[in-house]
Amino acid sequence: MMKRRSFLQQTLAFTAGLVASGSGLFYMPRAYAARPDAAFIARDLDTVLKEILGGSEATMSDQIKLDAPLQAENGAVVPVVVSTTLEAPEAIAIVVPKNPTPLLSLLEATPRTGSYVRMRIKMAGTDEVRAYVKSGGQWYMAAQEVRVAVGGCGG
Amino acid sequence: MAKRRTRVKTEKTEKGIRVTCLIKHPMETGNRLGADGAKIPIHYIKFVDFGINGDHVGTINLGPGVSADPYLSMDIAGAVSGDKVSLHWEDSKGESDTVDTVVK
Repeated sequence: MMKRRSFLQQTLAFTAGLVASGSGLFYMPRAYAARPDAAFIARDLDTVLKEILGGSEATMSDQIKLDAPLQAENGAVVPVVVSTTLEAPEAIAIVVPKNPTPLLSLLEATPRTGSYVRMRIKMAGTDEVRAYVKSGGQWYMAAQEVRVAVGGCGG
Repeated sequence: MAKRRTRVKTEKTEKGIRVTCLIKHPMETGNRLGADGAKIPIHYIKFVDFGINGDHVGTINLGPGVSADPYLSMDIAGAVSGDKVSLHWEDSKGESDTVDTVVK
C-alpha cells in the first residue's frame, strides 16, 4: 500500500513538474508523429494495407518469426510474438484480416528497437495472423493460421 | 480521470533488454453490448512510447483489437544496468500514464 502511495506521489510530482515547465509535449519526443489513425479504425483489410504499406507489396520472408498458437481456446487473449533478423527494421505491423478492425498494432522502431515485439490480441474467429516488417524501405511478411474456438471480438 | 495502473519490468537479453509492461485498461472495441443492451463505447490505448534515459526509442501503436489489460514486450538494444526506462501511453479518451523504472 505504501509503495503504491509513494508511486502515485512521484507520478503526481512528475506531472506537476511537466506542467510547470510549460512544455505542451511530454518528455519524450516521438520519432514519428504520424500515427495512421484511419488505419486503426478501418474495418476492411484493403484500407488497412493501403494505409500501412502505402500501395507497395509485401514479400514473404523467413527472416520474420511469427509465434502464435495453432489453436486458441479463447479468442479474447491470443499471444503473438514477432521477431525478425531483417536488417534495421523500421516498423512492424500485426494484422488479422477478418477482425472487425484488422490492424492490431504498428510498432514504429528506431535503430535500437524493432527486433522483437510481443502482445496479446483479440481474434474474432479462426483466421491468419500476419506480421509485416519494413526494412530498407521494403515490406516483408509472415503469416500463420490460428484456429479459434470462441471468438473474442464481439458481444 | 481515473489513474490506471501501469507496471513495467525489464530483463536482460543478448543485445540489451526486453521491456515488458502490463497496463490495466478495458480496451473496449465498441462492438460489445453492456448489461443494459446498449453498446459499450470504444475506449482503447492508442500508443505506448518507450524511452531510454530520456531518448525516444520506439512506439507501439495499438488498435482496439489488442486484448484487455495490454501485456506488451519490446526489445531495446544497447541498454545496460542503471539505464532509466520510461513508458508513456495515451488512450482514445485522453487518459494517460507515465512510468519510469531503472534497469537492474
